[in-house]
Parts: sequence; C-alpha cells; structure tokens
Amino acid sequence: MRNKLLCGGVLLLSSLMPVAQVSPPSSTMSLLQDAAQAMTAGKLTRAETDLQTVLRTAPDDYRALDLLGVVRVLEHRDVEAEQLFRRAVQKKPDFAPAHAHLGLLDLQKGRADDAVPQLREALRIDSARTDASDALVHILRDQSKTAAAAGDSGSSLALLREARNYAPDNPDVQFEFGAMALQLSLWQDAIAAFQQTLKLRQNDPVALYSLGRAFLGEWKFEDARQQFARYVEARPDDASGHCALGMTLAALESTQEAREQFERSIVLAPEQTESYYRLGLIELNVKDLNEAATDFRLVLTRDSKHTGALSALGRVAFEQKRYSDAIDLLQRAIASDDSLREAHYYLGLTLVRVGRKEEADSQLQIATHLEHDEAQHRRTVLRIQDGEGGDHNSDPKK
Amino acid sequence: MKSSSKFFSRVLLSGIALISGSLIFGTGLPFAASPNSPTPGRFVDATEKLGIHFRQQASPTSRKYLLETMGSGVALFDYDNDGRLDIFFANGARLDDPTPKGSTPKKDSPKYWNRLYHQKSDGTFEDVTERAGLTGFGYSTGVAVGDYDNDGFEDLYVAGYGRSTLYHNNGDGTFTDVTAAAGVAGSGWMTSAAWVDYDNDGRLDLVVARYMQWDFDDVLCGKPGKDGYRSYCHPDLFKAESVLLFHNDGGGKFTEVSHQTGIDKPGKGLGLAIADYDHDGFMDILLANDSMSEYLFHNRGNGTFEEVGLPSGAGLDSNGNTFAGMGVDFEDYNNDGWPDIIITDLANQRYALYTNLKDGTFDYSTTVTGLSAISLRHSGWGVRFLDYDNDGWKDLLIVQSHVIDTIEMLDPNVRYREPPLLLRNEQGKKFVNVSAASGDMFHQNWAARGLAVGDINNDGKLDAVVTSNDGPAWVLLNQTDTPNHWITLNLVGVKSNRDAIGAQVRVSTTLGDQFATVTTSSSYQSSSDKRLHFGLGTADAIREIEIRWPSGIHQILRDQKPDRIVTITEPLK
Repeated sequence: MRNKLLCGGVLLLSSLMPVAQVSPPSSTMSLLQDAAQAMTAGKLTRAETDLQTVLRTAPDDYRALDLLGVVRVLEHRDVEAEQLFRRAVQKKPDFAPAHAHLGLLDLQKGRADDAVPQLREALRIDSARTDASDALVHILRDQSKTAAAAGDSGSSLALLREARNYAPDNPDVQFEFGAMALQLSLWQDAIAAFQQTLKLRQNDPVALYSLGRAFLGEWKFEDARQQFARYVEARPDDASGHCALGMTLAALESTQEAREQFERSIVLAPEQTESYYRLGLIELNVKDLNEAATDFRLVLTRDSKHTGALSALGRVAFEQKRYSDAIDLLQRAIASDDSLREAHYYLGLTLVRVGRKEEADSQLQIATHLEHDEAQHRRTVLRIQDGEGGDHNSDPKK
Repeated sequence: MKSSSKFFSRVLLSGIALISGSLIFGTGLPFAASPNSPTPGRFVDATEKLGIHFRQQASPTSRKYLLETMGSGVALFDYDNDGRLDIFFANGARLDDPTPKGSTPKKDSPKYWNRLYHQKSDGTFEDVTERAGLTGFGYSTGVAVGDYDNDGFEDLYVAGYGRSTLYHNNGDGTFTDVTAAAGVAGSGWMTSAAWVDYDNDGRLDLVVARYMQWDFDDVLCGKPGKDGYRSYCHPDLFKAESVLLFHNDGGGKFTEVSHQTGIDKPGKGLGLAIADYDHDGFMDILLANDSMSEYLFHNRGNGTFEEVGLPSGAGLDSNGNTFAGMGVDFEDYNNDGWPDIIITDLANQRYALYTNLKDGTFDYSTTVTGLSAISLRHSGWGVRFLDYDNDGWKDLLIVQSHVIDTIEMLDPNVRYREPPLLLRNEQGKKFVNVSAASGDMFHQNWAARGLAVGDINNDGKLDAVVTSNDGPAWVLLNQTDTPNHWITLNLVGVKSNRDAIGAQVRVSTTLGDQFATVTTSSSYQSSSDKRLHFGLGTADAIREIEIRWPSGIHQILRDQKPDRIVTITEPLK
C-alpha cells in the first residue's frame, strides 16, 4: 500500500496543477509543484525544504501539510504523517487528497475500519480518485469475504454492492458480486453482474458457467443453454460443464442432446453421480423405469445419502406399484431432507394407494405448501440492485 | 353401482370398478391404425366467407385489469333445431380507465353486445342477436349450452363478471332472460359454466366456475420505477373463490347447493369439464385452477362431492408442481373406455395430460406422449380432443397465447400471440405436431382464448370456432382430405335429460372400440356441439353402438351404417 500512497502523491501533484493556475501566490504554487516533482523523483530532502518554506509563510496551508504528510510516509514516519494529514483535513475539510491519504495510511497500518470513512469521504468529494476507490474496494472485498466466511451472506453482498458502485469496471468485483447474488438466489442481480463481468472479460469461462447457473435459477433455460454451450466450447474437458449443459437441454426437452451431454460428462469423470442421476430422471420421465432404477442405484452406491436419487428411486417404485418399497425410499429421502417437495408428493400418492388417508393428506399438504413457498420465492425475489422491486407481481407463472 | 365409500376406499375397490366398466362396455378392443390416414389436417379460415364479423371487446386500460386479458368464450349449438349449428359469442363491456371499485361494466354500445349468428340453409351466417334478445349484460365471459327445461330447445347460460344470465329458448328464435326467476345470477367473477345432471334426476343442473375474489381496486403489478410498466397481476395476489352449483328443481327454478354438496372448496377456476371417470354412473366435475392444484370433484352418487384432485394424481404435474390451469377437456384419448384429462397452461409449464389408470387415479403422461416437448414454450387456453382426420383416434386442437401482453419484455423466449396447435394422436401413445402442414392459420399469431368444436357444415369432419382477446373470431372449416368413415350421433334423452348430457357411448367397428361422453362443456369458457362424432378409419360398418344413458338405461344398436348423422332417442327401458 506504500507504493499506492506514493502514487497518490503523484496524483495529488497532477491535481494541483490546475489549482495553481487560479490560486496565487505563484511562489507558493511553484514551491508546491517543485516539492511534488521532487517527491516523484525520490528527492525527499528537496521536497521537505520546499514544503517547510511554504509552511513558514503559511503555516495552515493544507496542501503543504498534506504533501509533507506524504513525505513522512515515504520516510516511514507514520505518526507524524497522520498528524499532518489530520491537520490538513482540519484546515480544509473538503480537501479530498488529505482524506484519501489518511485512509490509505489507516489501511497501511491495518486499521481498515478507520480507513473506510476517510476513503468514502475522499470519494464523496472527488469521485474520480482512483487511489481512494482502489483502496476502498480492496477493503470492501476483504470485509465481504470475512462476512461470507462468518455466514453473513447479506452483509457480504451489501459490501460487494458498494464495491461494485466504486469499481464498475472491475471484472473481479462484478464476478464476486454475481457469485454472492447467485448464492442468495438473487438471480437477476447475479445475471446482471455476470453479464458485466463478461463485457469486461470476454469468454471468461467461470463467468459463463455462473451466468448459466443464474439463468437456470430464473428458469430461462434457453439463455442458460447458450452460456453452458459457450463454457463447454471453452473447456471441453470439464465434466461439470457437460452436465450443466445436459440439464438445460433436458429442461428444454431436447432429450437426446441432453443424454449425449450427460454421457460425455460421465466419460470425462466416470466416478461422478450427478450425470447418472440426470440420465435417470430422463428415463423416469419417459417411463423407462428399469433403466432409471439402474442409474439411481448406481448413484446411491456412490453416495448413499443422495436425496434426489433416493426420492427418484422411490418414484420408480411408486410407478411400478411397489408401494412398500416406495414408502421406504421416500421416507428415507425425506429423513435426509424434509424440504424435498417431490418426495412428499409421491409419498402422499403412495399412501393414498395403500389406503393410509390421513398420512397421505398430510404428505400432500406438505408438498403443496413447499411448492407454494418455492413459487412465491421465485416470484418475490427482489432485485436489490438500484433498490427496485422486480417484476415479482406480474404473471410469468413459472 | 355407486359406491358410497370415500375415495380411498374406492381406490382399494378399483378391481370392482373395473369389472363394472367391463360389464357395460365390454373388453374394449384396441382401435387399430388406419392406413388411409393422412398425417396433417387441412383447416381453412372461412370466417369472412361465412359472414362472421365478430370482434371481442376486452376494453384494455392502462391499469391492466386482469379481467381485460381473460377473453370471452363461444358456443356452437343448434338453437332453432334446423339441423345446422349456430354460433354464439360472449363479449366484453366498456371499462373506464380507471374503473371504480364495485363497478359493473356495461354494454353501452353495440360493439359490446354478445352475438348470435344463425346458420342459413346455404351455410352462411346472419347476425340475429337483437331479434333473439341476446345482446347481453355486463362483461360476459363464458357460455354454456343446455336444454335445462327439456322442452327440446337449447338454452343458454352466459357467465360474466358480477352477474350471469340464463336465457330460456322460446323456440321461436327468441330468448327470454329468466335469471332472476331461476335464481342463477351468481356473484363474483364467473368464468366457465357447465350443464350436468349430477344427480341423474333427468334435469340438467348448472355448475359455474369462479376465478377469484377480485375487484377494480387491482394492485399495481409489473415493474415500478421510471422505466417501469404495469402488467397483469399473478393470481396468487387474490383470494380463491368457490364453484357455484345450482340444482335444477324443475319448473324453471334452481337452488344453489354449493355448500350442501361439498363442492364449495375455494379454487381459481377457469375451465370446466365433466365425465364419469370412475364408471360409477355419476358425472364427475373437473375444474382447471390457475396456479393451484387442479380440482377433481368426485360425485359420490348421494348428492355430494369430494375433491380428489391431489390424491388422484390429477392435481399437479409429475414433479409435484402446480401450473396455471386454463382450458380443459375430459375425454378418452387412448380408446380404453376411461376418460382422460388435458389441461392447458402457460409457457414453461407444459400442457398436462393425465391418463386414467382405471382405479380412480391418473398418471401424468405429458412427457411420455411427447406433449411435453411440444408444449414447453406455448401457452394454451381453449382445448378439445377431436378426431380431425376420422382415423378413430382423438387428436388435440389447442388455441394459444400468453396471458401477459408484455411477456416478451419479461422473457424474450416466450410470445404473447401464438398460432394454434393441431396434434395428431398416434394410436393413443404419442401426439405429433402436425400444425405446420395443416393450414395457414397455424402460422398466424393470435391472442386466442375460446374454442368450440362441432361439425358446422355437417360434412362429417369436425370444425372449430376460435375467439381472441380484444380481437376477431375465426371459423375454421375442416377440409382434411381423407377417405375415412365417420358417424355423428345426436342423442335425445327421454327419461334422462333431453340433451343426454352424461350419456356414455361406445362405438365398435372391425378396427376396435371408441368411447365418448355427451357434453357441451370443456375447453375454455366455451360450449361445443353436443353431438358425438366418431371417426371410423377404414371401417365401413359399425358393429355396435352401446349407450349408457344417465337414467341407467342401457341400449345397444347393431349394424349401423357409417358416414351419416344419426339421431338416437332413449328407449323407455
């Protein structure tokens, strides 16, 4: 961060030039300019002399105080530097460089929480200060990671949102915001962020994959398919890409193409479970029950707690009228994950068929409540971006 | 044979139900493929040529009132018994922008009138609305045709927002509004209606679907902000509303029995259809609900119903998801003698096809029949099973459009206006999309809503009438080039209701058996020709026509000739 501070000093110098043209006396300006040039050339003694000359005649010159603070930083005399920056701020509260330098010094000293208000103030006064914005974005990203690690996804997203406002052209910030929005199922925000990432960093495979996932969350399967297809083109040997593309193709009813993608994924990663599970779902939907059961059993031999496979195998048993097996499998699936709507639904249907009415009613009610909650969630997820509500009340009925 | 047990017991007794069905309908030979069947249909737009100039007035406003996007239905029926089908169109009314809460929209201009078109002997139509006294009231939605007083003339029930109207057919080309005397005005937002003799007393009762509790103080939906826009609201924002059931007491009087019969479970009903899905001799009622579980009201046979949509497997899709049920039909598409269900919905939901498993339950067959891939991106309203090529298998005609006129802004992959779909039934196993080769109108984008089916020109091929939202209607004449044989049965009840609604018919030829139920209700807010049409494929003789009348009377006619319209009157025993 020391280099950044130096860089900040150079920037300060350049920002002083136009001020000098309108701010007499010219001798003071000449000395300030000379000091700044000396600093960039590493001639700290000469800079010090110039600045002390100014301060002798004008002890409250905030520009000289600020520049002398920079000299002190470069001399590793941070305590004095901080005092000089604070004096500059005291003399001229809307002098952005002093706030920026104070913030940068705080950051350098590991006082990120103190740095943030100074950097924000610098940017409020002069939004073009890249030294302040770079530092602030750095802090916000760090804090976001800490919040995420602590499980506070909401705070993490809010911090990234602020970082994104300060650095709209930073692809890393855009991506991190998108990833956190994706984690929070804020599909529209995630889509916007990943699209921006891809504008800044074309064909970034990870952003393509993530954008595909966000489109899947929005049920925009054709859009998702396009992203995963680009991803697979960029990374043809990634099994997860083929699996994801297969999922979107299956959702788009392109069953044969989906099957090909899952099979390709299996060739690339034979020990996986997901593509087998997805193949099983295709077979289940077309009532190829034995094939489906084979796939689901394979998944369960590799991951005995795969709730999707347990539930799907239960559905196979239901379709085959093996109601006792179906009840056992579906109950096991629910025991692992009681939010499995489909498992509750088929358990309810199975219990109907064996005459256990009250239990059936209960399971069907749970299924409908879960479905209702899911549908509501899809419709009421707000776009936090710009503080606007989304299209949640209108009727895409998805 | 009616079981008084509850649904769950009935499932256990499914073997008995199956035996009952077999006794009535025999074993049901599978209907063979007909080698003469061409794959596509040929439908031509004859609207102008036939003199139909109807245009539905939705009265769109900047407020985006839901009412203005739900359309109005159509009926195909022979009101003057001249043997030719006539057409009745329901129409909207004027809506102010904004319209105050509690308002009743008015038909204060002829453009809002409902319209009755009489078919003349030359096959063209004339507008006889005023003379018939059918200009109407308020914002009309659905229409149901039935001879409720068994006088031999078809009467009309016109559902509407806030008020519905029962028109008695005077038999002289005029109708009389008898709503008040009959006690069937109803209330709320009424959509589809169906005539059905639910207690088999020989008189048609009336079921009226209601959408939801809604008024003109509609909430703002859509996208707020400076670049925002209004959009039609999701039904989840409104409370559900129950079906109305009016028992026909005779003498022109009805009693509302919704609560007593247990049919008053709140739903968000748009489509209605009837069939005896469990072969117990009593008509059951299917209600297509918007964005909640579909309702199947099982008729217990003792004057009450139990709602069994969810436990029967006909309430949700195969993943346990609800969908936006709109249009519905309840017919036997796989010729096994048991009524199946089709329900249309919105894009990304897939039209729901439920195959009757003959034990009181249904299997979601959308994917396995190919309907899933066909319907994924489509939004459907009116729907009917119809055998367009007379090959002996009931195909599907579906008219389409999304509900939101700005849907492209929300999802560029979905369209508001869409062409209709014609799906050919491949021996009850698959549906194949033959729309592209079946006529120009299958390439035209419509905001379609209502659909009624019937043989308008009595040429042995089923035609259709389609309505659109805030747009024209279309008369689609079926000119499919096929040598296949057919027969149309016009059943007349004596002990049963005169329309024979609820009669179940099996037609048997050397190619196999087919089954159908007499009804005027299904589709979306529409009413179709009550005559039963059967395509016979290459079979040039009918071995047997078996009829189970609602009265319980069982009739068999043998060695009937095909390619004609036959009137069959219910025997005395």
